[in-house]
Amino acid sequence: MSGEELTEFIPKQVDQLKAEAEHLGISEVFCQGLAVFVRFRLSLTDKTYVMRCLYYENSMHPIAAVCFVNPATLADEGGTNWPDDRSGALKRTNNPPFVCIPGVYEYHYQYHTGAPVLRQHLDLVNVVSDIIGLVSK
Amino acid sequence: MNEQKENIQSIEGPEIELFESEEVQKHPDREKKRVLLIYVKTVDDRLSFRVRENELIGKFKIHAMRRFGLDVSQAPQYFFLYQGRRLDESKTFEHEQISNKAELFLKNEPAVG
Repeated sequence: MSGEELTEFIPKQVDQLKAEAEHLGISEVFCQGLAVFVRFRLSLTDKTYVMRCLYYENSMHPIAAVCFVNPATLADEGGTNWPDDRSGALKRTNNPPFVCIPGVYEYHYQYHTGAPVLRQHLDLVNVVSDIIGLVSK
Repeated sequence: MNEQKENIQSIEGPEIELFESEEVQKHPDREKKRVLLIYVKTVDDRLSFRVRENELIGKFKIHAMRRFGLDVSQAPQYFFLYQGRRLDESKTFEHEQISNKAELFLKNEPAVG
């Protein structure tokens, strides 16, 4: 998807995510260029996390790479700001860390390159709720 | 009397059939328990339900899965997400503090790479 197409695609995803934010425990969703930031509080630990979903120009499908950033500065600090995960999907000790589930860039383009890309994998609400579900386990 | 009844029952969505498990139907305090209107979303769909607040989340999940046409033998792979937390299936709506008109996401566990 070209940069121009992404600038149309991303705001739609952001609007859908904002519409569902309250039901997902998300307090803030905002966009910076090709990155979507999602701030949420994890009830399990009573901690706040910020997920960054970064889209890449010219990738075959509009699928974001996901990482957790410093909630105050939004800086990517490796695995430091990642929540604990009992599912094994959050590879926080990898360099760089990544989330390994369908709908995330690294899953489809690096670790499971033959895996089919389904409609729900392009739906940011679905991917973000999958990740919140995993870290709430 | 009518006022009291309205206080303990949701007056919205009366056209939606009330789901009550056998345990809830036999519960001595059944009539005192509120009926909640609950919205459930999946990736593709959104349905409305009516359920008594002392219903177990796990029993309701099976009912919801049937309504969505999902294979209930896969139920252990599904969970409810509500306001950023997974609901405990061994608890009731009341215990999990699910309010009237709450929206739950019915999610299945993603394939972990």
